[in-house]
Amino acid sequence: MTAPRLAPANWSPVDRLLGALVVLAALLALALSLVTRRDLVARNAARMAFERNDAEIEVVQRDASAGTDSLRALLDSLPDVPSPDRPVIVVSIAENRVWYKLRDSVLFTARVATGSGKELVLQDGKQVVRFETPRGKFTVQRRDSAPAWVPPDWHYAEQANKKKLGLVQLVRGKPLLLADGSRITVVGNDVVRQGADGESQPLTASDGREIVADGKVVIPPLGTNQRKYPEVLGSFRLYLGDGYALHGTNAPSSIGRAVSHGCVRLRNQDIAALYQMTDLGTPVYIY
Amino acid sequence: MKPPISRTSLLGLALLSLTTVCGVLYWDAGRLRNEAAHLSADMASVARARAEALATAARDREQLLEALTRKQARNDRKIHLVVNSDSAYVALVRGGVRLRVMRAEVGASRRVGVPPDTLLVTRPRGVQVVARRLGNTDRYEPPRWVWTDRSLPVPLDLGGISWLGDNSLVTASGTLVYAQPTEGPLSDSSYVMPGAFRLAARDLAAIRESLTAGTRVYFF
Repeated sequence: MTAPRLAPANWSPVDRLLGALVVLAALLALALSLVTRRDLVARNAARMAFERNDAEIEVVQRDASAGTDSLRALLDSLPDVPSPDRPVIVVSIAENRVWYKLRDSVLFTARVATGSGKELVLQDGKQVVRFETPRGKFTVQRRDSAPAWVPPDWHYAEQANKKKLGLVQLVRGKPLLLADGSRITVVGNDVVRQGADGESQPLTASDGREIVADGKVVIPPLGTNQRKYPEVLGSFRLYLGDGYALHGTNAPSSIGRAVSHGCVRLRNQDIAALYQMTDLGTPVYIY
Repeated sequence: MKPPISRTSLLGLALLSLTTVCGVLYWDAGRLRNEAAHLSADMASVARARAEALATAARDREQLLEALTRKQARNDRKIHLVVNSDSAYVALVRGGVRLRVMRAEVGASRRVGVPPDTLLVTRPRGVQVVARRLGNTDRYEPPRWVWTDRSLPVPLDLGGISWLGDNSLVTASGTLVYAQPTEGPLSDSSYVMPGAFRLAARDLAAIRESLTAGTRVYFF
């Protein structure tokens, strides 16, 4: 048996060697072309991935800048409001406390009394007065020293209810004729009782000791001396409007409780200190 | 007759050609490999750049949103609440004046629940409004994951008990600003519900009457 022949027998040894080398080179070229093909696919895949990521970054950056741009535009469209740089008074109804503050610094604080929350049904049965301290923003409209309290009509209704008496309104120029023949009328700025002999005697009135005649509590007209109670509001008052104020008291034991008719009561020494610090127009926040 | 080109020459020529082809293929394969390697290396930096771009964009948006929320709060003249997570306080504000500043316990952002049923709870940002102000007779059911988060069995019936302290607030988006209750999973002083805020009961009582449904709450 003979070995297979790689080249014709008539080839010279040199040709045979060259022939073998040609075959080897052809095989090598085939192998290299396969490898190159594989590398080409890998390179193309890498290039595609790279380009896609590159594009994604662009999209991300564009999306992000679009979002932030609109936020920034919205931010810039809002005006810059400076923080308030003047002192304010803050009252907490729940805690019965007042603060005098400049920004976040507390310059003064004290306990107060606030509205009781009780209701008073007036004698006509239709109106109900609720003794609450109002919440909201107010301003100091007036600063009064030694203020006198001018009781509203409901004060007389409350006293009449308490004492189980009737209620009568005294009007200037319309005397009240009493059962004993005397009458109650207004002379100048005084409420007076005139006897049958025509002699006039000014009447006195104070908180809890109102004028009572024929079983009725008399409501003096506004502007009369009997409609002004000194000392009830203590030494000073910071008036907020609508009948509400921060003021002192002649009942210091009431401080720290919800007992007032809606005003904010302070001890006299506290309202004196607050009065000295507070200017007209000072904002008052009650919450 | 002798052929014009000898066999030896032909074979030599073929060998030379094939060797050249091999050389070109070898060089080309090397070039492709180099290019792929470079692309791969660049890919890592591109991926990093992509992640950084995303992170930067998210950070920019968050900072802008926070600045916007702060500015909106400063511009709001009506009574509102400001909830500052970083400084851990809640403030009642009106007309730019901080009427009351209250220390708050902030529930951290984290994933809650039992896998696979989990939920990522995050601290709120932006503007919300008060939806409910809970009195002592109002009922609020916390989400069930609060019990699992505390490794407690979930009661079959969640009704009938006030799971939050009095005067707690619920925003329209469901964020809680609550006081510590006396019973239930939120009664532990060391635990604050993730994504929620806990205030002292006296603080919530003090601001209660000033808040109504619709009052704005600015979270930043």
